[in-house]
Amino acid sequence: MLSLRGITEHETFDHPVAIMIVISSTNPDPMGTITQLYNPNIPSFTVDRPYVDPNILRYYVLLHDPHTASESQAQETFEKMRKTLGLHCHLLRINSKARPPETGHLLDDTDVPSAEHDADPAIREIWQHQLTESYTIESRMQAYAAATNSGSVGVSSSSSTNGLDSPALSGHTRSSSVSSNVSSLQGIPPPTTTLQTTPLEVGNTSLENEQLQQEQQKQHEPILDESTATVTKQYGRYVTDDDVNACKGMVREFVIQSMIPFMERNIQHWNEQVASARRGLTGRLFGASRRLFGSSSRTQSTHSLQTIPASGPNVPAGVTQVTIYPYSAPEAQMRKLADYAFMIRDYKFAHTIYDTVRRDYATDKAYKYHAGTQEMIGICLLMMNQHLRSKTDVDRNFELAVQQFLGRCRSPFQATRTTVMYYELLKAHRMWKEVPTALVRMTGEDSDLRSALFLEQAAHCFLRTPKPMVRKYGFHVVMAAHRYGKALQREHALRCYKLASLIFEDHTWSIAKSHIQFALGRQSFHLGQLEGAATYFANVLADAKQTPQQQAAHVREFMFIYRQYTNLSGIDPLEESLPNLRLPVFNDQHVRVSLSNAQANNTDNQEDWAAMERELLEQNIAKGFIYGSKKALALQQQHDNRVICAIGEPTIVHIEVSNPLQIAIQLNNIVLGCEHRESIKPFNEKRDPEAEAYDTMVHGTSIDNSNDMYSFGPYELQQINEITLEPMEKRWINLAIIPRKEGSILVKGVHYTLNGLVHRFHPIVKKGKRLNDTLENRRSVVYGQDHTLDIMVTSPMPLLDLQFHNVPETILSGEVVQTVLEINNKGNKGLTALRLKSSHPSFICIGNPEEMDKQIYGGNDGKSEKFALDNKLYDPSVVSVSLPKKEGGSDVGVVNSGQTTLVPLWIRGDRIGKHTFKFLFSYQSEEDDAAIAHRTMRYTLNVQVLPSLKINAFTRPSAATVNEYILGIEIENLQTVAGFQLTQLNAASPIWSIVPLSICTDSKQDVEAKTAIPPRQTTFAYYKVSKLQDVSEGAKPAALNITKLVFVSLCFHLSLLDNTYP
Amino acid sequence: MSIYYFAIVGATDNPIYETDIIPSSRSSSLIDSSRHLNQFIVHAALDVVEEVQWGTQAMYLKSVDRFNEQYVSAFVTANNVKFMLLHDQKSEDSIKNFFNEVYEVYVKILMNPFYEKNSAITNPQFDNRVKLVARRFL
Repeated sequence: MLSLRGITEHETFDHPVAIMIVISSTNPDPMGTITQLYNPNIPSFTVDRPYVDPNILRYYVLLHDPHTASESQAQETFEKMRKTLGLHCHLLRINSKARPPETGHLLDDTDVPSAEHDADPAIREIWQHQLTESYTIESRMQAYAAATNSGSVGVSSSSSTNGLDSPALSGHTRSSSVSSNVSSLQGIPPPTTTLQTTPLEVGNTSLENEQLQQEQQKQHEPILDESTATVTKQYGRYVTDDDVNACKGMVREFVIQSMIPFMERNIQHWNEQVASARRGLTGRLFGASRRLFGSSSRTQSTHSLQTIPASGPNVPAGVTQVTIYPYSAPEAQMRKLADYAFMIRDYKFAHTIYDTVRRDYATDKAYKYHAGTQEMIGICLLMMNQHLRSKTDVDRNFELAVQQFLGRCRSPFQATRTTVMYYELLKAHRMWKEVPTALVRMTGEDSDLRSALFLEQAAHCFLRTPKPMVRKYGFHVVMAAHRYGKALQREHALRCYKLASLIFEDHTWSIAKSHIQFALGRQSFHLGQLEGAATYFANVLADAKQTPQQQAAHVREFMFIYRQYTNLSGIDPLEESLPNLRLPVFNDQHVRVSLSNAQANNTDNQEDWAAMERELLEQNIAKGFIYGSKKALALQQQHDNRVICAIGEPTIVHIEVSNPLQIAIQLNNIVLGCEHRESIKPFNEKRDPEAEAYDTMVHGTSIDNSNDMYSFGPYELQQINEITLEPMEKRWINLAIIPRKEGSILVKGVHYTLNGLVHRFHPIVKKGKRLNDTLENRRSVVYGQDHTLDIMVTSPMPLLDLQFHNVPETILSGEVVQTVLEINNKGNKGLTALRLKSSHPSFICIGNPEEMDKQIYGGNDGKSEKFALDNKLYDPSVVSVSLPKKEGGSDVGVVNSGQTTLVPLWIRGDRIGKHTFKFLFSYQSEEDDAAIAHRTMRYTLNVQVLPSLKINAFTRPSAATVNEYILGIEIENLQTVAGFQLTQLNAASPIWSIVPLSICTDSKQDVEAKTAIPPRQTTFAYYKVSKLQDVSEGAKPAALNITKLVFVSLCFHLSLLDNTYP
Repeated sequence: MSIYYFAIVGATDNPIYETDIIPSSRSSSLIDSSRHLNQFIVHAALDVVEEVQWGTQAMYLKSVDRFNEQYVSAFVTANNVKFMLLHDQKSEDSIKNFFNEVYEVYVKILMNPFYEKNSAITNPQFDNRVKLVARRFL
């Protein structure tokens, strides 16, 4: 980029400063050849452009080879040169033993010891590197030169001996194209090789080192060509250390004594002649007046712009004319002055000159010149080794330069060069933050590859800023990757996308993420990396935020690639698992295992149930239902929280599956992945879901009498052949397991096949309870082991199945309803010790099976009855359910396998509202089992209690007699439609009796009128409470009066508690 | 009216709310192609926001970044939650008003005891309110 530059009109860095004319000491007519070689009147090939100043330094070198010419002869020629040509002469001695093959009157090639070739590889290497590099550059330039200048005459600036003509060169690869070019130029006696090196010779003191080598290279070329006639590409074979030093000396002398003084002289001259005149007031006036008055003549004058046909390597297509300043124009001279000042590192001076001349360019609308000057101003500011006043200023300069190069001059090459230059300078200043702005500016649409390279560089610069800007880096890498992709650089694109995917890996920027994954998939596919492509596409599939069309396209593309991949690598897609397929979505935490008797939809409030189970267990132990060795077993069982299943009992695994996509997907061959262990101990090892995800499909043998159960040895599994998940659908899949052997079965995951093509095993890993015991646990989020998927298989057990009959959905407050509880033992052993814990004990009463036909409100009309009540405190929520006694057996009730018992159960609307009754039953086997102590079962019931009557009671002493009270009852009907009928009032007291006052019990009409309560009405009823005469006084001074009122209307009842103190 | 992309980015760099604010006259198919680009731009602009936010006391950081013809304006709450708005017209005042209004709505979300900090906002009411505010100010 920096070394390949043709001569351009807007800057003089590529214009020649000095010319070196080399002549051999064997030349018979040195002075004649010199004049032939360089005639100032005939402009040379190089300087034959109107904008190139032909006034350059000429430097004459006499090349002397002691083996081909005598010392005195050389000295003589040199003296002659000094006399005629002035001070800029040099005598260079090259100690060469070589001789041209044609002449053959000196040393033979064979005389050169081969050891000497190898003796100075270091010297040869001076060229080796340079040559290979410049060869490519030069061959391109030659191709260009051959195309454009075939007719023109190229006067070369170096000479050679007469004998070294083209035959010797023909074998030399590097010069062959030149020689062919040159050989077409007839009539010029000494054609040589340096036509192409002339532009390189241009002195640039800031690059002295490079220049030195190039100069040397040029010097030796005649010799080299001779030597390489036999050995190709062996340069400098005969050059000794002395010669190298001599060359270096010559170059140093040339630079110090001739070139720099020459440049300084020029600077001084131009500064006085041109710049100072322009800078001063008069200069400005002159400029202004010229602009004002001389506009018509300006185009014709030599001092201003000209238009010439375009030529040169950097001319954009379609441009045939370029606007230039001829070299003698003051603007061109100013520019040259500034460039010279820049070259001898007077950046400050250069800056002022650039700044002055920039205005002229701007007014003349010479945009290329203007852009070039802007660029140089920026470079000067950065090169001046001082603190930068403002970074934006510099950036502004470069921005303008790039904009004008691109927009006005259509010269992306110059713009790119400017950007690279700026980039390198910023890098040297370690100003990483400014770099991306500069680079991104050059990422237009014209060249994808360049834009990609620049974007990638910009991305890396973001990482080097004091505070690394990782996200910016990610974005720019993605853009670079996109451009690489457009430029068909697929490997680079893939690499960049991979870098970017790391940035977005653990973020939820899902659209951006899937864009990268999708691009990765595309690029890998195009590169033939099908496995990677399949993986990346699988990552994209589950993205829910895409449009349905896109999702359908993703799925299609994924299926296509996966099929290709599996075909190529010989994998059966139905057997092998694709681990990172995230479709459909499984909710691991909601997976649960239940026994076949469990109530459906009874899944929430696990915590409550667990607490109830614990309490029930404690009660059972305290009451002696569980004793001895069973106690520890039961506690362990409670702790493990495992599902216990007997052999042959079907167990259901409920899995929640959801389809995140807006298109339907199909799942086939869904079957559980299970593992059987002999031990009944809970599985406590760590599972590795990553490795398990590679599990292959399982195949069982089908069982004769069922169509979807398959046998896998110790267990049988259900297989679902096909389900279709509608868009966004969430559904439960229930899969049955029937254990056939004792031990444990661990549900590891689920196998399925997506859309009939891609098999996958989804490992189900459930987290246990969050641990909070130790400090370590509290500091981080730690989960305990979960055993709910680890099914314990025991020998045959009783299995309770329940059914409630006649349960109303709504009851009135205070109403009592009799329901029937059907207890069914589906297990293979007798069921005993059935205990019930309920969440609402005040609503529930369980009776004996014999009490089935008992009346709810069977009263004893008017007669007194006596009860003895046990006043012991106990937990009313836990009760035993009495079971029918076995004939001849012990006193414990047993329900045998397959038998059914009916037990009455009364529900009373105790409190208004919606209630969910939780029933937790525990039961044991009639035979002792080594593995488990008891089994539990959960059941819920929903009942709504509606409001009925509002009752207010009051007493006051009777005015008539002592020991008589009046009881008043205010009854309000809260129902809006139903009416109530008052039917019964029960009093329970050993000493008090109650008689109605306001109702005449004899008249039927009166009773009906007074006891009916229409909706939203209130009635009052009065009763006389009198002491019973036959009870001894003082025994119960303050008796509790329990009064029970029974109302009947559509069988509604309610009761009332009332305390009266005599 | 031009197209806007508005995102609320949690303190852990995750987008907790995203919406495209499109005038009804334009078709949404135009948006689909550039949705990932919007995310990329806003995500990249977070780097600049983190740089700018410590240099000012104000919550509204004005326009912090630009990509081609699109600008990114940012607003940082005390919780280090960032409101990012991608827009193609410069109108500082209206954007400031928009941010302030959205902030009010966001604070209401934050006061919900069931809302976990830095988790996605799925409340449809919030969505409606943001769109309403956008219609009023943008």
